Amino acid sequence: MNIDIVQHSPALILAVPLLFAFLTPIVARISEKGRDAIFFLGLFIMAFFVSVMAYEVYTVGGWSYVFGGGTVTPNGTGSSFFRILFVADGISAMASITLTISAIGAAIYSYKFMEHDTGLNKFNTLFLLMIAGVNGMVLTGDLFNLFVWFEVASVSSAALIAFKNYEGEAVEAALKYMILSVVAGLFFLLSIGFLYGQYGVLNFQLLAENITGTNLDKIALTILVVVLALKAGAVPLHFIIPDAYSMAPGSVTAVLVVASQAGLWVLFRVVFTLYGLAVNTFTLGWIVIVLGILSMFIGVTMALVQKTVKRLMAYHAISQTGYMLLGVGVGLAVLGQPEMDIYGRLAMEGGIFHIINHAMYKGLLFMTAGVIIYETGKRKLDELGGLGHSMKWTMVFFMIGALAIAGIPPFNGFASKLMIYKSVYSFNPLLSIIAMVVSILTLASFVKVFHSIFMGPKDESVSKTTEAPKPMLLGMAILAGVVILFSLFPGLVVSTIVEPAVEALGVIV
Amino acid sequence: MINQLVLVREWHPLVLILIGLIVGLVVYVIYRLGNPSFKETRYKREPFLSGNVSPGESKALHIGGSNLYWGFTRALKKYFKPLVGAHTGIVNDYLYWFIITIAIVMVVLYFV
Amino acid sequence: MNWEAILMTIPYMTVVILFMIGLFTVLFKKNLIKIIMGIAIMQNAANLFLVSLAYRRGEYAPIFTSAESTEMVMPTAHALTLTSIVIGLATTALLLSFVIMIKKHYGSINTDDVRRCKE
Repeated sequence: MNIDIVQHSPALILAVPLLFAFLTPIVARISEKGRDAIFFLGLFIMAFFVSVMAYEVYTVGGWSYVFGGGTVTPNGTGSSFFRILFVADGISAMASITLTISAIGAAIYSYKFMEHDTGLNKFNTLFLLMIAGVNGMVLTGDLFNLFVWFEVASVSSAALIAFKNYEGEAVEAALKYMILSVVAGLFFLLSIGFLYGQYGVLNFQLLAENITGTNLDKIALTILVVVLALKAGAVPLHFIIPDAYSMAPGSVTAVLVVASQAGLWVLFRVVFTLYGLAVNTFTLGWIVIVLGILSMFIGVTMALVQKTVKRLMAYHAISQTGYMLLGVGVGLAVLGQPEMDIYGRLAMEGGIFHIINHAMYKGLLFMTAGVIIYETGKRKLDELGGLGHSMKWTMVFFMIGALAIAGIPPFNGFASKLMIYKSVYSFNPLLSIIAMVVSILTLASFVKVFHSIFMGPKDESVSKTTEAPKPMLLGMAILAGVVILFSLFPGLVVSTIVEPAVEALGVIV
Repeated sequence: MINQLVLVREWHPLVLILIGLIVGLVVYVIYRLGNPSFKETRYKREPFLSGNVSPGESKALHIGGSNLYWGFTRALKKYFKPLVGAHTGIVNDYLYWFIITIAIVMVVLYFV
Repeated sequence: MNWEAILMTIPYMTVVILFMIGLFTVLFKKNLIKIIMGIAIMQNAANLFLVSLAYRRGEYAPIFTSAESTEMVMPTAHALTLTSIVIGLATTALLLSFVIMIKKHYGSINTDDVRRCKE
């Protein structure tokens, strides 16, 4: 058999979670342990295919995969005109690596976290479906296929948010998330209709060659940018994010962060590859920069007045998304001009490096919040205190996550934020100063959380808490290990993972 | 000005950790030069509350949660009141913001 | 007045009117069931838009049995519409099941009351 696994790996990365998602309930009828074994088997097989694809992309180069056979032919001849393309390049590899690490950590964590709940067959199925949906969003090279995976990801995310449906707030948060995702998906369908009606093709490659800047294209561009910013959680559209992140179970929130970032990856593909220089990139870049600055500032100031642990961390997730939008917006605003060579590329690298850093330390922080809720049963900051005496490892992981998010050297948050500060300062100094102030306010907010939860005398009402169970510590240790690894060798990570992603966006100097 | 910009893409965290270890070594040497026969009294660890009676090691000693940063939020009340008021929780308001953002971005992209 | 050109744009005007009706319902009505029905109207408008994009003048529907001629409309847009209808079915079912759970927990389905997660 000569099946070329490397060439077929984009399709296999999507097929394996889908297959195991529907195999899990069948095996669960036979035995409970078998269901967990099949779940982890599916995740590890997917991780194998992701590593195969990433290795090929980083050593040889990216490729397009025509789904259903055939080869990619230029400009509307042959079978690529009719078929669906998957794209395996730097962006797909980086996003899949982020998702895989986060999903494996969350799966090991949820083995023990969800043990008191019933209906775990459905949890495993929905988890694998969500992973397939998010992978599909970043691997696809076709606009309508993107819509399909967008809807798969939003349906399974909403069902997972409402998983603890014995509490009313979880169902309310899931309903709001679902209503906004469905309305956004309908607007997305309209913009696909605009582009299809003008050019007759749907894949990114052919559209990018044929697109001009007519008025309908500009309408389609605004709808696409705002819909993807809603998925990512930028500021005037961020209202669903704190509700959804705070009501989901602990391990699910860690993967929901990566699912929201999939909106960012697709936004970068649309703005750079699909439209490129066909529209006025200075205006578009400033729109993205304004969205980023609003997200950073409003996110962190709302986080200072929160009283619940997970809601506070969700507002910080919104704030850090602003950093990514700021970095890439600066790169977009100078696209095609000579300054791109000097600081634009550095800004884009900083923004994109921040995405994977954020997924790692934010997942770690949400998992520690999950441990606290699991052990004490309380969510509000006013009722907690003095947990540092009994939960030592959780405190260490929380400190690593909090120092990384605040951008303290030597952690990885500092490395990506330094790149953003340097390049944005030479674009416009005011933006860089706002970014630094937001970083200080982030540190202030996490000192507040750390003091409230872990410091203080040992409290009688929470004195029966013990350390977290071993699988949860193992899940957190995986993410903390990746955070420390990225902190020690940031240059290596940037040159291996981030630079192919920036080049895959088609940024021509 | 652009010519004077030095772009260093990597910074070296290993150098920083090495410096941290050396400073830690110096701190440890100074610590060991201290007096080993000193016994801690009760007053060394308690906070000084201007002569008031300290409540001891109980929960009343720990100020946490929403009491921290009270001064900050109270001083910026003019900014926080409309901001927190805008987060109502009604689904229709969430959709208003979505439509308004599409409208503003469309106008900006057309006319600028 | 070019009556034929105006006649050709009637499907698109219908799409706009339907979409605006659906959007109005979702933005201004407070009952959750009415919001979900507004979403269903918007889904129908988007599907109609996709189907009416594929029409070319003088060509027939792409069905091979007893076809009048072999000049047929390209069925790519019809495939997209079928996918979209199925996705709309799944999302409407999920939304309605959420509303059932909310009625059980909160006792009312008015959006002014369903707001325990605020600020």
